[in-house]
Amino acid sequence: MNIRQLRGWLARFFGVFHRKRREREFAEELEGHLALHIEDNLRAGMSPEEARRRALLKLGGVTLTQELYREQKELPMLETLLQDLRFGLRMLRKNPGFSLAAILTLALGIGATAGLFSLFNAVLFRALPYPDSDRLVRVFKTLPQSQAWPHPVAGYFDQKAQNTVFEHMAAFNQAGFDLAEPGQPPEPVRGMVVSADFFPVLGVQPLLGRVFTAEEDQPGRNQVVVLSHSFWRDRFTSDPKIVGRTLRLDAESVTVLGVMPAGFDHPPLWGKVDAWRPIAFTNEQRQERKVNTVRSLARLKPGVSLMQAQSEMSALAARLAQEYSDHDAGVRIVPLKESATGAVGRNIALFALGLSGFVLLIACVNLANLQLARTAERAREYVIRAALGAQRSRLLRQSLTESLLLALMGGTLGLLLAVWLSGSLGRRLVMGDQVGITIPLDSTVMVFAMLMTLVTGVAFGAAPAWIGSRANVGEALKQNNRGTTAGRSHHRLRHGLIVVEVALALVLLTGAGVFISGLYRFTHSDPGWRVEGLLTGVVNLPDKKYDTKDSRNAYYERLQARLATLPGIEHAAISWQLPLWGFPIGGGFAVEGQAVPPHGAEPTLSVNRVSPGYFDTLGMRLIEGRDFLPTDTAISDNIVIINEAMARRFWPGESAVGKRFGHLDPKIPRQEIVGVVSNARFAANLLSEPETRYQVYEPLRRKPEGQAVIALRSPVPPETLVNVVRRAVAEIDPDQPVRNLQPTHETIERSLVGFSLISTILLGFALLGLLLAAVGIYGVMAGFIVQRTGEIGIRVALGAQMRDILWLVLGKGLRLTLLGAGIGLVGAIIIARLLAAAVPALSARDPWAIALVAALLIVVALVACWLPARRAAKTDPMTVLRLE
Amino acid sequence: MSEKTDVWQGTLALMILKTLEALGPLHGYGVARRIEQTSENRLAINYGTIYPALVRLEQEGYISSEWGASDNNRKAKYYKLTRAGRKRLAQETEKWETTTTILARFFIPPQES
Repeated sequence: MNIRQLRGWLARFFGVFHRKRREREFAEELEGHLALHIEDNLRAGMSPEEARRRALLKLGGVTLTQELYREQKELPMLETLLQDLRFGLRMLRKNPGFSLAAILTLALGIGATAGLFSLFNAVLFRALPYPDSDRLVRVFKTLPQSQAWPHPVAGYFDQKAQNTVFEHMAAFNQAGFDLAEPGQPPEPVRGMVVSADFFPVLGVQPLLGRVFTAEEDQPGRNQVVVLSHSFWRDRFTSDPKIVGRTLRLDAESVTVLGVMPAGFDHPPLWGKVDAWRPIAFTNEQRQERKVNTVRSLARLKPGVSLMQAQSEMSALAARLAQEYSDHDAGVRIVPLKESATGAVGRNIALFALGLSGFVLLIACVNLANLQLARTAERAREYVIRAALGAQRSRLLRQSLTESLLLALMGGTLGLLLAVWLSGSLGRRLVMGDQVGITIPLDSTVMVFAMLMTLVTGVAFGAAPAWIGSRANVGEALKQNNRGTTAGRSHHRLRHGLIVVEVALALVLLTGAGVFISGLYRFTHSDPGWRVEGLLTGVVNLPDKKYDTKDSRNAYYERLQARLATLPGIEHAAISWQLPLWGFPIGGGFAVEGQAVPPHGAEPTLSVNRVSPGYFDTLGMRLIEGRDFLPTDTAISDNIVIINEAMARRFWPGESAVGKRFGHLDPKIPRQEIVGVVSNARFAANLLSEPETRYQVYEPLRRKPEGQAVIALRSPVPPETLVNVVRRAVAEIDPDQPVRNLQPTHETIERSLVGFSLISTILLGFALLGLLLAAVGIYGVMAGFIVQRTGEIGIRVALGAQMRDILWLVLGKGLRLTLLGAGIGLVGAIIIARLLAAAVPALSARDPWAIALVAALLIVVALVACWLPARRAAKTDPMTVLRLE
Repeated sequence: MSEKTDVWQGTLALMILKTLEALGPLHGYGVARRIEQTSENRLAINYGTIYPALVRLEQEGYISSEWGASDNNRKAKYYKLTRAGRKRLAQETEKWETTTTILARFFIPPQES
């Protein structure tokens, strides 16, 4: 197309505007033309009438000329499109109720789904910012009670050495460091400790400087650190000379080796990471086979599939398990992408996404209903227009344009809603310690939303024109103006849609209800220890300064003693863990004097190490025997306290105190039970098994780790004690701060905030779905009444009472609702089962929940039927019959 | 069918351009009249069809228009060639001449001598 033609097209495009003016101008031009021609004719001797006649004839018809002019001047296609749009808008304006209802319905359905979709997209499906991230996997240890357990250090090294499917394998753990700038109080820094191949596994080069080598990944040589981009930017203001700078980290001088590029730290996967330091296993740690502490990830060799790797690693794990009597230990390989949320987390997310899809479906059904309701009137209009000569394609196009307009408006509003939703959701999401992440509304969501928009618009928009263009004109004109042109099948369709809607609403409500009630049950059930009034913090003793067991024990004892004497503190204790997420698993064990359980059925223990006073501090009950005492130093390697569940299971009917049990590894000394305490549920872990594991408490003295939790019970609000506690801790060792000092209930709430967030969303969805369904039912019932107005009028004239009419309408409505509820019940039960399978902590046999939900739905549906029915019963038969 | 229309449209456009070159600025009626005359009334066209052609030529920039007064002080829209129009006309003329020269050889046998 050359430039002239292009100019031509552009001119035609602009010719569409200012049409009136142009037409007026052309009319003038034509007038002038005719005048000139007539003059010439007159001059040639014709009479005025003849002159005029000939001139008009020669012109070829004024109207035709004008039309030809118009066609050339403008773009006819654009013209018709604009016409259709204007017409569509006018139609929508004329029916504000319908239009508003349709747009809102669409907006809510699309907006809610798109908003959630973008959230989950960000968390679940987004590719990781590492090259070939599909080749990256997490390697988990599996035990009967968990599919995502860490490994013992020695086990990690064995796997690393003996596998043939990984190109690189690395170990890591979350960690916290204390950054102490001179003259400033120590500040906590969140990060990871990683083995030297961590960076090669992920395959990203540092932005500045370099990462640490294998030599630096050893104790004594590990005074190095790599910073994350955001930390470098925020804390060190992107200082270009950061590489080589020395920082005081964990009471040692540490050199900054490099800075990783932005995005490498990927919070959705790793949580908040400011820095990476070498994991630097000691020789002692490298021999550890019992306690599972280290996490690992790996990169698959090129050409190796996930399945291949899984089968080989399982075989390897079986071999190792056999060799080291670590029975039931398996290995599970999971793509890194998916490990961010874990299987249960992912299931919950998909569950919520599915429910939101239901809302969209209900919205679409409502839209279809709205459209069909108008089909009756509109179809008649279309029939007449077809009879008057309108092309069927034009009618169809007009109808489609109208509904596409609707869909687009609804879709745009929905998109705005989605943006707002994902923004406010993202802000409240907790990733590791970071509160709030930005959730971009990316192109996938846009496409998804637009697709939904288009499909809805097209699918439900053509009905009136389609029906109208096929119907018989005579028949259409014959019917009274309240009748329909489409007859029975059209109404059966609408009634069918109501049934579907009720079913969907029931499933939606049930899903939400089961989740919410389960969550409520979980958070309000007695955890077995007192969460209120407890203040906790974490101390992290640097290896360099506290390198011996004795030094650590000394510190902890001094600390506990000091804390216990603080005003306002009732009890103080130090322990390895709190019963929040779970205790580490110790190896299998066998009870002295009882049969050794068959291979594969050995029970496993969760182990916690605690100081004396722990149980009082936590508010747990001492059922038998005694607590640990400070004087237990000599025997601390051999005594334990167990929980009630374990006592009942292995020593039913007798006292467990004094009994002994041992690990399957005979090298580990037998343990004697000195006390039995109540069961403690892991209060922040919705995803764990509901039954309490067998819990064993060992004295902290036996093996004090560098990281420990201090727990303080106090009747005064814990928040007021924070400063006092900080100062007390600083008294023991000024270089040693206490971290995460907060009331326990806050910790738990923050852990569960994701779930309570989902609950709120689900509740919102459920109510939304309910509202939409109610509106839909109301609409159909109203339409039903309009259709039967004549019949109702006759009945009233023949003596029907108000309640007879009411019953007529309600009966219809009730039948439809019950049918829908019946179908929905099946779906609801399936949903409840699915949820129970996905999140065991939430399940419970709760038929009342479903029954309640169904009842609620039926009541709402009946109300929606009753309103129009009431109006119908008041019909004045004379008015109605006269209009026939 | 539309091909025929295209050819006709192209021919009409050329005739309009040529007319405007010969007669200078002219109104629509004048152009139509002149075309009929030039063809010695062998072309019997509806005058109305001139106008879409004029519109198109103006849209593509080969002619421009301006309101003026006719001889009898009638208000009329006058069209005149633009530079692009002249150029186009020259190109088409050359093309036509070349075509006719070549074709002539086929239809008029060369003079045997």
